[in-house]
Amino acid sequence: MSGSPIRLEGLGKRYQDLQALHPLDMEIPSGSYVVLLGPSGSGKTTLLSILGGFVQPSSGKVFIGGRDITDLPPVKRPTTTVFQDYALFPNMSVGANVRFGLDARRQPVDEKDRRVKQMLAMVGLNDHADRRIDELSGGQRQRVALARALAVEPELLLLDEPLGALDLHLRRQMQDELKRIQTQSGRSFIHVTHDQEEAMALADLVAVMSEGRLEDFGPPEQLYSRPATRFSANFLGESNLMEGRVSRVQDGITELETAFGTVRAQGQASVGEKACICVRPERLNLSVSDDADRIPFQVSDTVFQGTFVRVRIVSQGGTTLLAKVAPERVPQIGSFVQPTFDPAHASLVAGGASR
Amino acid sequence: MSVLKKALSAVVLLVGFAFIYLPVIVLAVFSFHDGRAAVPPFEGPTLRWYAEVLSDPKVGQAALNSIILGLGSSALATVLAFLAAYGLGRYRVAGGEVLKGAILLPMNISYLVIGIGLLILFRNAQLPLGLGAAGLAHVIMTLPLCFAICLTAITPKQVRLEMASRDLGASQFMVLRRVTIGLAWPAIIAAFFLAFTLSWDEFIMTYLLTRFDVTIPITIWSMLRTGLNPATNALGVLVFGFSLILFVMFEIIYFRKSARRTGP
Repeated sequence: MSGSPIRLEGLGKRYQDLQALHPLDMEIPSGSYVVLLGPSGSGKTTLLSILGGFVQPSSGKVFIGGRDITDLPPVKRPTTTVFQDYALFPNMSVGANVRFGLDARRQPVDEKDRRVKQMLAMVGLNDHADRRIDELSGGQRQRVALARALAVEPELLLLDEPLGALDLHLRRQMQDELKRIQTQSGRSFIHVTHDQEEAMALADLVAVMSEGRLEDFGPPEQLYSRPATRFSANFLGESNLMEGRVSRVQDGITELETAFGTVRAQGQASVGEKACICVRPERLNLSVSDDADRIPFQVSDTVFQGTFVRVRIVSQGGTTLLAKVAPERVPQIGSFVQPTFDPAHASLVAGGASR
Repeated sequence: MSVLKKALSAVVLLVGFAFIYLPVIVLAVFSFHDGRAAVPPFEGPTLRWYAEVLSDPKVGQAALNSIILGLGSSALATVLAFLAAYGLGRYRVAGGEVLKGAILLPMNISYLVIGIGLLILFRNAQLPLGLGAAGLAHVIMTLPLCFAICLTAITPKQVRLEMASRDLGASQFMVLRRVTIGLAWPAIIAAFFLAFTLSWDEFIMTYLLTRFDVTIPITIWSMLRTGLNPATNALGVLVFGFSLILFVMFEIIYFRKSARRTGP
């Protein structure tokens, strides 16, 4: 049981005047959990619909296991979809819903029985086979939809905001379930969401999308520590962005002159050009100083958040930075602080000038 | 004051219902009347009029004709109505709303006008009158209602479910059978029952368009011409009872099912 690698080549979609999806390339190794992350209107659902065969792309191709499936209708694709509203058949029992895709494939009856049982066991609904759909809770419906879509052993499972209709508690619980089921099935999952926490928790690979563009693509750790673009840096957790002009590049470290002094980050840029550095708030160290003439930053407010305290500091020039500090090391409001960080934990992001 | 109000509204309600149901009750009561004329005082009860009506071969033939007419016209109207509702409800069609209106319009046309129109048409085209012609008239009469009922079953939700079933690899036929009709069957059956009830009672068009194929309403009418007689009452009660059964079945199928669908 293992899926096939998926490759997207120049895949794009244009609706008259609207470029819903700018042509993009993507390589997805077999058995990956991919999350398409972005706000509404970012093109993530368009991409999912193209993969499911519900929308024809204006350009590009989709390959699954080397086979070009771009022109195949949904019925012939090795993909199935878990719809946002689950789209379960209300006129059939839970078991009949899961069996539906198998019925379309004319398998022997006992093979189908075995498969339905196996699927229901996988989602923890063994003794619910004869229930009506309207007797199930939201979380249970979600599981039935998952079992139904996986029963036909798709190469690729597409999930359209599958947890969107669930409350927060159930959502976190289903996240763990989804990850377990994906690992167990060995299939590739592509999951659309606008919840960055969900993306971090589930994904092997995250694709950050905005305004129809693929902004960033990679493992969540990489996206978090080294975001490729400003949008990605802001959408995936909080970040401090510092703009300036490149003054020196040496040994893979770029030096930037900003309004409040010199900062250094890992990455390559050419001297003289505008650039932007991203530092996560937990990577920012604050050292208190009495030298108000030399230190441009002053603590403006602190918010206790349990394991850490969120400290906001403002420069005379109006630049605001955010730091997460251990509770015992919180500076006084109004005190002068010098922010520092290790260049290895800072990264250059594209789009140096504000877009 | 409030007691008086309540009593007053109860009286109004009773009078209202009495106005509606008293004729039926009187009709039923006098079908058991033991006498030649259905007039008070009541004598009996007796079942002899029922025996007379049920043993009359003309009544039997009329009932058979009514059933053939009802089944045929209702089946045709239901199938056409479902297909029209599916097409217009499922897809965005240019002029779709106008088409819907055009299908629903015959509901507002007098049956007499439709009957006369068809009579003239059949005469001029030299087509034979009979149950076939009457059946056609009944399709015209019941199609709008069947269409309206079937249309309620075609929802965006259904469209989405069809999409999901194709995604799971279902053929066009499997989608139609298990999802489309699987979801819409209460409406389809309800439409059929309602059409049958209407056809069963219809008099004027059938009278104009049949020659020798007498149906139940026509039989009652010809019995009335020879004067009021408890046999007429008995037949009326039988016809009413049959309609009532059909209507109750319609209610159960249509409203029970839709109540369950919208329930938690």
